[in-house]
Amino acid sequence: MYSMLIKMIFRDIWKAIKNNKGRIILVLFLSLHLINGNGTKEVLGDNVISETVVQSQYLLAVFGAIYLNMAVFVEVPLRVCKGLYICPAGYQEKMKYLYAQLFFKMLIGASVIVVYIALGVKKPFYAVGNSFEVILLMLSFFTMFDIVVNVGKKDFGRKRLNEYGYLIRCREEEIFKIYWTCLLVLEWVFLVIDVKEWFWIPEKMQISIWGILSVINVFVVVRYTKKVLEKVLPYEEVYLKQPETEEIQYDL
Amino acid sequence: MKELLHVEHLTKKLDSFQLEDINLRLEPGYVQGLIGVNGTGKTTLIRTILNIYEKDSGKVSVCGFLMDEEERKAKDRLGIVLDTNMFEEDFSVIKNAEYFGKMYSEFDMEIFKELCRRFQIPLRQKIRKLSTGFKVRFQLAFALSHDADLFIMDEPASGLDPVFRKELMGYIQEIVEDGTRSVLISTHITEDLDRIGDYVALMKDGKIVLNISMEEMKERYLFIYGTKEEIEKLQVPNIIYKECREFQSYAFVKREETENYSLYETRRPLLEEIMYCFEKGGYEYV
Repeated sequence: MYSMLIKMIFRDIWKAIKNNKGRIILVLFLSLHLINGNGTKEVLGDNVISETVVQSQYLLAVFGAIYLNMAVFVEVPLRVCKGLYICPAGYQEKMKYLYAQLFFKMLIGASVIVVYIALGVKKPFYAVGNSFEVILLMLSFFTMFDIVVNVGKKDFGRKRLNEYGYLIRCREEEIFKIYWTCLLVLEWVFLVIDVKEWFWIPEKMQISIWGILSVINVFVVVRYTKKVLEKVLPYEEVYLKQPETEEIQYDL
Repeated sequence: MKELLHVEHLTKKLDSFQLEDINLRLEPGYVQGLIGVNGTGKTTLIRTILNIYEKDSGKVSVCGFLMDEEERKAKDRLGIVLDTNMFEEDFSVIKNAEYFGKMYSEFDMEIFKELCRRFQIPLRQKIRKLSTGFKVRFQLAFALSHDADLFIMDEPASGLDPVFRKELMGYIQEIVEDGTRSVLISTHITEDLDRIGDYVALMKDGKIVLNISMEEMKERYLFIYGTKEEIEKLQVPNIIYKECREFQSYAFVKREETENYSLYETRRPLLEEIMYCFEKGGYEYV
């Protein structure tokens, strides 16, 4: 079953890549040029210390990889394949299938980040134990998770809209896609800016803040992932034909 | 006798449409037809029975397994042929059978290959590239390969050529022949049901308005023929529908035991005619 699942994921990813090839090539080219030592130095200037250069390279690589993942995975929604609705599969099997899908998508996303760092910075782990790197990896993981937990209708994850054209989202989806996304953006800002210089926050307090933020991130993942996945279990939520106009008859 | 399908007080709301209080029982050895005009809820009912659509209330059990609690076991006993393909379009026939066959406790790949040969289904062809008729053939071959007890078919004949349609009816008869298996089939080609159906349920606006045996169905209703004037002036109880034309006029009536119909030229109706007359004349005397 898993080999089919992986093939399906790659097929969906390939479709999404084909749909966004122009954008992907452009971002790939620009970001790799910037990440490259000379490109970064051009932006930051020659008088910056080398650690800042390397950190900027890492950040650019991660941002580039996350952007690419976002461009692709937004069109690869989590969904149970139609066959599982008619074959012997209950709640457990369908949830297992969704978790496996989530895992493989995370794995592919993480691989893209690692490959991107390797291609751009050319040294995946530049300083083992460095707090910047630990936070960067943690944030990358949670951001990828936020991107990958993508639910929507049909092949391209089209969202349901209400009569006024606004997105219909369940509470758990709102928490994931609105509140948590905002928090993650804040965390990235917190990481990118020089906290010591801007806010004079002592190092111990910084560690505490990151600790609290990590706990919140873990809490969101543990508390709401299952609930969001449960929302995409029903066939009607993902595959049921909805009439585009009043003239089209429902698939009764 | 153990029921293969038991549907109790099933309701399902789908936007403005609603299935209301559906009750259905099917014992082994029978073909149960499900008929009704477009949009009466046949597909919704079948999909709700199969738990593809989540029901709002009621109970569905297949071979004694409740769909809510033992969906896996219930579906293991089901052979399903739907009007739309549910298998993976981008994978070949054989790959789909391999992947999904593994989920059944008694799937037999050799039987599947043999059926594909009989149905002339190309094993290496992607499902997407199969014609509508061949998609149905594939589903049928798959459904027949895992020793199912209950077959549920939603408009299986709609995309088939007349030759395979006739063959399909033969297979359905074969399925129920030994008296251990049953078929629930929804169709608007009622001619097929006239030949092979044992019971028929008529649906209207999300409700089963009639569920009786084929014999009873045909005994219960009657066509009375006459001239235009005779039919217009006809005085018999339970007239459901009259059609008065210059060359042929008739009345469709629900037979009354006490009434003597030997005075008129009469005929037993076909399922299609019953459906037509109810749709035109209303469901008051159903």
